[in-house]
Amino acid sequence: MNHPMAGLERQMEQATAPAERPGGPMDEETASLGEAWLAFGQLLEAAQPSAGLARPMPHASPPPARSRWSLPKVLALAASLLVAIAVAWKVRGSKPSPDPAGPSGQVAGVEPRQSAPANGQSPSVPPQTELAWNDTLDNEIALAGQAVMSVREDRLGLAGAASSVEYGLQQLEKDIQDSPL
Amino acid sequence: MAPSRQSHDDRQLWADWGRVHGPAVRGYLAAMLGRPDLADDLAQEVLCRAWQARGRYREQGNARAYLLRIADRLACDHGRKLAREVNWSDQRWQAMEPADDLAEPGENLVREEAVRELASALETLSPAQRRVLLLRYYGDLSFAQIAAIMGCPLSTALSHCHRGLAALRKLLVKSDL
Repeated sequence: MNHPMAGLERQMEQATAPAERPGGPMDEETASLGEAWLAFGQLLEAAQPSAGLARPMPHASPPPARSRWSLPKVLALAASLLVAIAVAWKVRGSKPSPDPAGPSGQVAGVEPRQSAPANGQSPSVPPQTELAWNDTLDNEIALAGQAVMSVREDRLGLAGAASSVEYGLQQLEKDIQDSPL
Repeated sequence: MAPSRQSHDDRQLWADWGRVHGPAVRGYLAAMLGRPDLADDLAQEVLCRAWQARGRYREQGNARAYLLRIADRLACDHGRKLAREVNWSDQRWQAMEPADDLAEPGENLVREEAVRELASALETLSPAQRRVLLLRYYGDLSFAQIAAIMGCPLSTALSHCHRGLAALRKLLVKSDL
């Protein structure tokens, strides 16, 4: 360090010394700079009184650790959810149609009902709402029972699909709650 | 070192940073940016960043210098952003919409006057002079440490300090006479 810079450093250290640790005897120039420094410090204290106090910070606790959710874990969860949805969809698709008048609604050995009456009835009247001529009551009851069974099975299939998705979501929620954030 | 012991030391370190150095960090940021509301947020940011890199602090040792170095970097980044923004500080909002304040009206007047004087004093300083003087005031750092934080030679930091004090003397000391 050369001499002028050492002198300047000493002068600045003296001029900016804290009030409780004065920098010792100083020349007039240094004293006037020190006076400006003290006035500046008083302004800072008056304008920001909290800065000089030992006021605790608003959140006096260490920041939480970063989330441990890694990309592979998230991808694995998303894949398992997709598989669950696909399985549920497949189960639902393999179920018969709930339409009781459709082909799946027929009972073995029972003649299928005609879709339109041959005796010139109005087509707006659904054929299954009234008994056809020569149809026995037993056949009608069997057809209705088959339709009810079909609808019930389809509903069960939907419930299974929904429960698979719900199970996947519950697993995801449990993983999120268990992992320390 | 055992994990529990290290955890206790970490908690103690965090408490010391917030209690002992937090107000100085906040004061430095408020004076640098002129935005006390922003200074609170940034002071938290400083502590969080310091906490995440506390391994580096253990190599250096000086907590106040370590925290103010981070605060200075954040203040410079936000100073550039604020130059492009138009924002109202808390004081300006309170001037528009007076809100309940715990302080007495007389104290508020004195403080508002001090805030205005401080703002005009800081405006007379160049950004580099402001950094040197505020780092010296809030950190009580040596000029070699200040030069290291600013990334400039020691002679430059000393020169900024001298010129800044001369400008303040012209404004503050003359006006008192």
